[in-house]
Amino acid sequence: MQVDRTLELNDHKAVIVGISDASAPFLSVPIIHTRYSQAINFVGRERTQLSFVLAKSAAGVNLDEVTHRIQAQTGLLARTTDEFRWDCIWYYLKNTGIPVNFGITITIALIVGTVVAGQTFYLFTLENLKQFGALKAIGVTNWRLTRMVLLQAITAGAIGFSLGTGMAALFFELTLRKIATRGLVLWWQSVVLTAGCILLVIIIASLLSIRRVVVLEPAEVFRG
Amino acid sequence: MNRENSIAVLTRGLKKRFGGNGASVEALRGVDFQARLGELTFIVGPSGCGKTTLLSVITGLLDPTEGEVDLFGQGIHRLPGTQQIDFRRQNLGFVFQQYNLLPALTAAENAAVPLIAGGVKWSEAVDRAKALLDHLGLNGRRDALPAKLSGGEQQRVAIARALVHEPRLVVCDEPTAALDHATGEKVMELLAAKAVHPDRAVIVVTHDSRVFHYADVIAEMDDGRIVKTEDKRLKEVLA
Repeated sequence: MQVDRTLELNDHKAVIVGISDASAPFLSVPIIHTRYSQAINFVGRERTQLSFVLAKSAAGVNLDEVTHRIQAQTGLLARTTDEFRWDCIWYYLKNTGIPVNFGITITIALIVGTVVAGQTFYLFTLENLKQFGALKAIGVTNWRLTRMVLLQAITAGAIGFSLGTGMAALFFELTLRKIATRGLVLWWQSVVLTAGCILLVIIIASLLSIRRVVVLEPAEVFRG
Repeated sequence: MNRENSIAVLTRGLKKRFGGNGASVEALRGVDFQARLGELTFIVGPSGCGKTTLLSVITGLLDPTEGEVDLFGQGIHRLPGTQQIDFRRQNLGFVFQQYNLLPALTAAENAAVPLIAGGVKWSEAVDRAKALLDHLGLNGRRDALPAKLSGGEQQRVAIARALVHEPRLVVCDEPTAALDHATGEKVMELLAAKAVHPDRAVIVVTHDSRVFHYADVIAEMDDGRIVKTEDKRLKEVLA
């Protein structure tokens, strides 16, 4: 894609005279800025020719008042930028399978991640029950063992979170400047949500492990 | 010290029953046992005779169904939970059959565990453990992880862990069972030389008859009872 290159759109020649740095669209379709009369030629005659018109208000004008006035004069729906953004979001949520597909994917990933990470940590505790039994026999209190398990879980969680978030950040850094993936951004909210999920996994895995350690009879350590 | 005044462990009519409602197993059937300070007391007998159960009850890890256990004149089972743990931490050292060293800690750090559990600062505890490991002939292996140590070396680290806080009673559960004969002999030699002390009693549970000659007293168990006690020191005195 470069200036002065000629494209063919539905049997019409078009010359690129400039490239805009617009926000990346949700779907990976190209956006072309042109006059309305040209656009009709490019896309051909269709029943619905116009989806929306972008307008900019004069400085200092109340946006709600402007949209009300447009609606009153044209009978068409007028929205502010923020309202329009939410209209788009709700459209995708209500009328496409995207939220369900994304939701299922994320939910499965969360469940699998929780189960695998939790199970791994719990197995680590089970494998070291003899050592925990020995510590109990020696005179280490349940409270101290609980703190040990929590420290292990927090350390494992922190390492996992750092590696995972670091790799994700690297991925976004590498793909941010590529045309095909330029809309993909790692939001800080996503990082916080991930940290919350990991905390949940740590709590669940720790509670199971702590319960196993606390009810452990120290005399078990003498059995083979 | 008078031998009668040197009793460290005394059990009377000790019974331990597992399970209930017809499916119960009586592991101890009225055990009268004693171990003295300055002596190496062996509890021997066939598998399943109740040796390990007796050791667990003596150390307060299991409660008896009936009977009394006195450790240094203190009824260990009458102590409330936290006090019993404190008593065990201060007065008992353990040597286990499978060593049970913490895999992520070095030999010195493993040996220092009872001190750390007792509130001694990490660096001070490790320094004391290192000195003891040197004394036990492990000076070149102080910073090695358990996975890098041989079975005999791991058991020596376990002995250091049992002695580092200078307990008054050391209990060893089958300390030579996981070792070949030559290594087992060395471990027993080390226990006899370093663990036995006028202010300390050492109890060894074993069925390894090849190491019986290290014992001062041998209590033989069968079917939950002590059926015979051989006091070698008394024999020497009488001879």
